[in-house]
Parts: sequence; C-alpha cells; structure tokens
Amino acid sequence: MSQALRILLSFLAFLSSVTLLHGWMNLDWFRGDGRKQLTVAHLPVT
Amino acid sequence: MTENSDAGTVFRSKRYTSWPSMTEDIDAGNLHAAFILAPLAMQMARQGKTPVKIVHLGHRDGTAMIVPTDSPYQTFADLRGKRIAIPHRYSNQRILIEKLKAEFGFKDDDVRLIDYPPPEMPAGLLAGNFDAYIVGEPFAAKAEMEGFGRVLYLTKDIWPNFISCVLIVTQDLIDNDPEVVQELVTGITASGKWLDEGDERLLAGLVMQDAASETTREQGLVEVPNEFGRTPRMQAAIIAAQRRYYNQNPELLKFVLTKPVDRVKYTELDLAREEFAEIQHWADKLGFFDLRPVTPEDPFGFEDYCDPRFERARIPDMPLQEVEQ
Repeated sequence: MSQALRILLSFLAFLSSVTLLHGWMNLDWFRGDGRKQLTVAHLPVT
Repeated sequence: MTENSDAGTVFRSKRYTSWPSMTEDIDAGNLHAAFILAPLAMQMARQGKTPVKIVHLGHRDGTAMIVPTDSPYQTFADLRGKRIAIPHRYSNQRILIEKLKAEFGFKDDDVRLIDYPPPEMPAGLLAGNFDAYIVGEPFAAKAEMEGFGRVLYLTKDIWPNFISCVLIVTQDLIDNDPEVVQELVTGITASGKWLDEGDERLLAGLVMQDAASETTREQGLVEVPNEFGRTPRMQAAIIAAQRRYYNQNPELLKFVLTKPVDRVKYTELDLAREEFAEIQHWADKLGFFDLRPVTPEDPFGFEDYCDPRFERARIPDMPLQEVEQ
C-alpha cells in the first residue's frame, strides 16, 4: 500500500469518526421528535 | 404550536424578501402555507400553477401612507402628478390608491405608481425616489420613527378593517392534512385574541429581564426588557423582532403596536364574503385576472379562492405561564 493511499484512508477514517461522533452527540440527527412540522412563509411586513 | 409549546405541530417561520420568490417556492412544491397579499392570493387561485385557498386573515389594518415630514401634502389631492410607491401591482394597497383616485377625481395618469420592495421604501423616500409610499408595517412606522416621514393616512381611517395579507395554504395540504391547517388557523385566531384581549401573563419561552438568570439563558428563554412591560403586544414585539421572524428593532415594533394601539389589530380575522367581493371587484377592474378573464362561462367567486371551514373550530388556549414571575 502506497504512502499516499495510507494517508488518504487515514484521513477518511478520521472524517468518518468525527461525523459519527458528532451524530451520536446530536441524536436529533437520527431521531425525529414525533411532531409534525409545517413551514409558514411571510415577508417582514404586516 | 411553536417550539415553545409541548404538543401539536411545530410551525416554523420562513422570512422572504420578495413576493415572487415566495410564489415560486409555492409553485415548486416547497412551500404549502404563506401570508401573502390578498389580491395576489386571488390571482394565484385564478391563474397560478398551484391551487391555493385563503383560509384566514393574519391581521387587519396595519398599513399607512407616508409622505416626507417637510412636504406640503395634507390630503391625497395634493399628490396629483406625484410618484407613489406600492408594495406590489397585485396588492390591496394599490387597490386603495385606485379607490382614492376615484374618490378625488384623478385621471389614470394623475399619479405614477412604482412597485418597490417594502423594506427599501423608507430609504427610497429619503432618497427622493418617490413622493409618497403606502406599505404594511413596520416600514411605514420606520420613516415616522426616524423623523423623515409622516403619516398622511392610516388605513384604519380611510378603509376600516383593511385587509393586506391573508393566510393561504395549498389545496394539496387541505386535501392531505386538513388537521394541520385547522391547527394553524385556530392557532392564529388564538394568538390574535391574546394580542388584543390577553392579560399580562407571560407567554411560554419568555422571561422578564429582571427575573432572568444564567439558568433562563441556558434554557434559551427570550428576555423582555422591563421598560417594555408585559402586555401581550409588548411580548409580541420582542418575539417578532427576533432574527427568525421580522429581524427588526424591537423599539420599531413597539412603536407599530402602540402608536396608536389600533394601528394594527388582530381580531375579526374570519373571512368575510362581502369584503372579498369588493377586493375581487377592484382586482377584476384593474386587470389582475387578464390571463384568465372572469366570464359567465368561466366564473370566479368566493368559494374558488376562500375556504372558511377551518374558522369554526374551538380556539385553543395559548401556552401561557401560570406562575407570575
């Protein structure tokens, strides 16, 4: 395995671990709160 | 009803800076509910790509005509030959100008109407780009509060119960999720009733400044300055001023909601057939439906653009704090 490939794989492993760790710490990423949502648009005028 | 209630649908606010970008998002299927100009809503219902219905009002009045403070204009008659900025060609503000033109005996070209983005109107008046403007708050009060503009007319004085923006939802949402439309409509009714008739209990998510602490800040509670007091209108000014809603100076919204207190009102929000008939009459007269003319063979009426069925439900309680702070 070349040095460049090892560096690339290490970097990808690092990115994956950061992403998963961050996702685990923010469980909302994976779990809805069960409430419906609706976006209501407006201009900043009455 | 919002992130601060613990049940029901979460309604999220999305602020736009122009009407076309909003209607494009509706036509693209990305948006199913919006506060939009009443004649524009009718025009969308008549010839838009996406079927929509008006289901409720958001407020009444709350529009003013502004002229430079040092100008000699005292009545609409003084604006003959002048330029007036309007928020959109399909706005009720334009219809009001047309009514005034008829009342004061103006010919069609006696005033020049200019479509102008509402947030830029105060600066436009200051720069002399036009001689007067008519717009929904807070962009009328902004010029007044900053001293370079004064009110020529408040709509409440020349067209009582003026309708500017209405709540529309897509027919798709009505057909597929009428419960959420019901919740939205009754939530707006409840909010309006609280705004105009509520007591001084704080809304969930708020805390008076003198009762704020590290804990309330960690909880993300919004602080109401003590000098604002705790009336519903002042609480609303603080909420609406936030970045995710109007993103305006709270003092400006305080001005709008109190000077005078009936400058804008939030009750009597039900859809009234005769009021929409008048707006439709003027919209038709001004050619808003020219791409699909209203004829006996292809009629267009209240039921085609309004769906008042959601206004008959019980009004829910607002999420108010029971304990006095």
